[in-house]
Amino acid sequence: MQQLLSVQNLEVSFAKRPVLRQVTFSLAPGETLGIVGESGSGKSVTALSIMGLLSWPGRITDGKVLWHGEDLLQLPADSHRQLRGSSMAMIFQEPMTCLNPVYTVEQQIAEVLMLHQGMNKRQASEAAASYLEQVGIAEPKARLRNFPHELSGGMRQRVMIAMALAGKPELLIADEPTTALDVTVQAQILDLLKRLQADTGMAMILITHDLGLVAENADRGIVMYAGEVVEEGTVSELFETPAHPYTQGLLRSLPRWGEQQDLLYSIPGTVPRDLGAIAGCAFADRCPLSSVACREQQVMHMLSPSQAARCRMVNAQVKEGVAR
Amino acid sequence: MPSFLSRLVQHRLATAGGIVLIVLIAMALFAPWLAPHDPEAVHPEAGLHGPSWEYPLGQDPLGRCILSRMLYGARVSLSVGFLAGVLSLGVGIVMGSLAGYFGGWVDLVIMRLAEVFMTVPQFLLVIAAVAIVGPSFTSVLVIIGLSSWTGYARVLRGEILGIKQKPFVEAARAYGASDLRILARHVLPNCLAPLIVMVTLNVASVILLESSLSFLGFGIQEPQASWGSILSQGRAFFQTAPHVATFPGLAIMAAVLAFNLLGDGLRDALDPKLVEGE
Amino acid sequence: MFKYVVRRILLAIPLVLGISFLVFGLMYLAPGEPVRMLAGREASPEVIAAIRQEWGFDKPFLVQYFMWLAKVLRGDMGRSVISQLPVAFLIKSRLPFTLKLNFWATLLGLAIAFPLGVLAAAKRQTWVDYVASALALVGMSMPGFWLSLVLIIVFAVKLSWLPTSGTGTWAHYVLPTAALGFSWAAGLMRMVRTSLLEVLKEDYVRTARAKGLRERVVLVKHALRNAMIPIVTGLGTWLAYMVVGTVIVETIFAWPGLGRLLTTALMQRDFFLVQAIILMISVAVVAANLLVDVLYAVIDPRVRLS
Repeated sequence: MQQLLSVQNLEVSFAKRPVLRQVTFSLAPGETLGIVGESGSGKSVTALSIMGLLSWPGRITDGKVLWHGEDLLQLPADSHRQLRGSSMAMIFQEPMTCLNPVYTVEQQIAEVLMLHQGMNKRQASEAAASYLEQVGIAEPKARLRNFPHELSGGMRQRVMIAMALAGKPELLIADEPTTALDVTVQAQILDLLKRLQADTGMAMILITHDLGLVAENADRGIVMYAGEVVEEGTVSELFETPAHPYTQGLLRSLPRWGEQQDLLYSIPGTVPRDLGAIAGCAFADRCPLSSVACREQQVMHMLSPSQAARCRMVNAQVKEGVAR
Repeated sequence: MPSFLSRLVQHRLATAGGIVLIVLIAMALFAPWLAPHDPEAVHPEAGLHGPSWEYPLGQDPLGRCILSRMLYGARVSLSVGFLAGVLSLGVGIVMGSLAGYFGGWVDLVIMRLAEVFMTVPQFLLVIAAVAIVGPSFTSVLVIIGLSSWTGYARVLRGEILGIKQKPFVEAARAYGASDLRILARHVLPNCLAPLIVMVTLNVASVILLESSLSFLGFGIQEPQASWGSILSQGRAFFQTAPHVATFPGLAIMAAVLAFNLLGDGLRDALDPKLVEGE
Repeated sequence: MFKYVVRRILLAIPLVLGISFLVFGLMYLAPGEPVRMLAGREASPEVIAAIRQEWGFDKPFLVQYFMWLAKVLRGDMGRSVISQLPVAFLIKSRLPFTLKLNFWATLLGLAIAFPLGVLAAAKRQTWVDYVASALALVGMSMPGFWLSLVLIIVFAVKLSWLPTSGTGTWAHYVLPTAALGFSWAAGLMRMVRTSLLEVLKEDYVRTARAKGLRERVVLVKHALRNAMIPIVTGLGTWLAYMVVGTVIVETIFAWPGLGRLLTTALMQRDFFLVQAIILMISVAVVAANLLVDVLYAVIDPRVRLS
């Protein structure tokens, strides 16, 4: 099956400091991919690179981003721009600040419709209301006239989603779409995204620091650490047979139903800051299993047709020693 | 502090501004030794002569040496700038402290007054006041100084209002620290950064203001010289003798540019504190 | 919106009163000045006493202030001591020249500052930005009178393209407009650049780019519209800039406007005229600030609705 998106060996630097190294993954049409990692692990940078939104001083230094087999990085900037907001759309973490405070909801949605669907003002205005309805906003006609500051955080995120839908995207990138929202609203937004995906058949990349969200919403997941993909697999593989010590650590730090836990596990140490200074495994300093050999360059080891991990110990059957 | 200094030195434009300033200040300080002629020695027969070996920047309409007058003029222009800047800082600190400390109607009156001073264009206020009192070095200096305190007062007042609510002030009070001591120990250091930047930029605008006043004849009076007044002297003749206007104009521009660059550099170097101070 | 405007106007009233008090008090900086001005320098004590009584200078300061204020509110700003003409008449005859000059200079300033400021911000850290920023810094540091003199030397004396004084044709407007417009444009350009750079960091600019809008649309429609909020605040100082510039430029180019009326009046110690001009300009500044507040509400819906 032809992949919708295929990222190959993507490398990004911020003012000469590397922040992404050898990032590789792909996505089929209609599929949901979860990208998990702590802040600073490179999740958002990956998304922005795909969208062509990386801004100064960030720079893509190597790699490919294939969209229907065509490398977006070789495309003229203007062709990439035309894909944005139409074929690929993105919503962000902070719905409070992501909408332009001086324009009404209608103006901001209609803008996309006029740009990508060639509608005129009146058509766009009517269609905007139907998109608001589609994302579950009551009284869409009245809400169209509101300014962002008159809406709650959850409402604003719904407006952002409506704006993204307005381009009829094949891929929606949701970068921490619920992190800034109340718990009850979080669930509503995720349900909404799932339903929309079922309705439209679009693919989705769900970026989050919350493994639980990936478990509930994604087909496959990749785990990122310090600018690298450290593990990749289907959701059941990641949760049932995690191979990389970092993934295992993340899982152990999740609270679980029905189990008495006095203390949540936390991975000792912190994420390294200067990735340029690390040649081998970036997690080695925090890893209970690390040895001298981990200080050399690591490659992905295949565990199954769909699972791979960037750990030397995988072959030595770390999997059997999984602490659960 | 050292990190601040290194950031300032790394700011190349600010360094350039600082060097220009040091040169200008040195010229003003050593004017008596550097000046080739008596700045007030008149040679009417040689009026408006262009630059020559003996008079490197030429002579003014009365035949006086422009270089010598500019060196002495630097003393006047720069000291008006510095002294008026310091005076307005002082007035601003007092007004801002009173407003922030007492609050209530004192605050109301002072802040209304500040608003009045910010609305009436300073240039008009100063030129009229100087004309009425009589133009001189002192009147220019004092009037400019008394009319540009509002920015400082606002910063200080804001800082005091913010700090009044902090627990350590209560603690300091409990230990018996006087209010003046709290002001000196806690309030001033906190808004030092924005105040320093404001003074630097303020000096630039004072120099520009004084030169405009002197140019129009309401500033420094003959035979004393400031850059603006030298330029003013040459105004009537500048079509035939442009050198009289050119060199003092360049000096004013260099000084103002230098203070502006230094102010920008200081702002960038002090930035983290500046954000806190707001 | 209506309530907001009314509240702004009400707040401006005490400010205008404060200004009138300051302007009135200004005349008393030199003791006995108004009397001396009316009577002449060598007047006998008897004449001075008579004038004091006739003009009410023997009354307490506050009484004098309110008498003066009552007259001003009726539109009577006194007569010029020199020409004996009503001050209001003198101002009215000069005002159109100043307004015309300021209009063109403002237009020129806007036409320079906005495109250059936006360009510098859009191309930050490139030579375009460096050149534009350097120009702005030099322009801000250059005294207006010196710029005027340089313009005259180059375009009027050396090249003989343009006249140096008078108001007859459009050619007479070029140099004074340029001198006045450039110095203001420099400061405004810096303001546009900094505000825009601030706004370009905002999340909603990223959203606009994510929509696939052209960079030009992102810059102008999404970023600049928001950057206008601080820029409009800066426009409040526009009149203050223009006032200084106008006085100097009109004096140099012998432009028969308010600025030159003011310097002449100052020179002749015609202080009632000075008083009236300062009062009028200050009230104009208050009005301009009011306008800025209204513009604010137009630009920023958050102000409009709160």
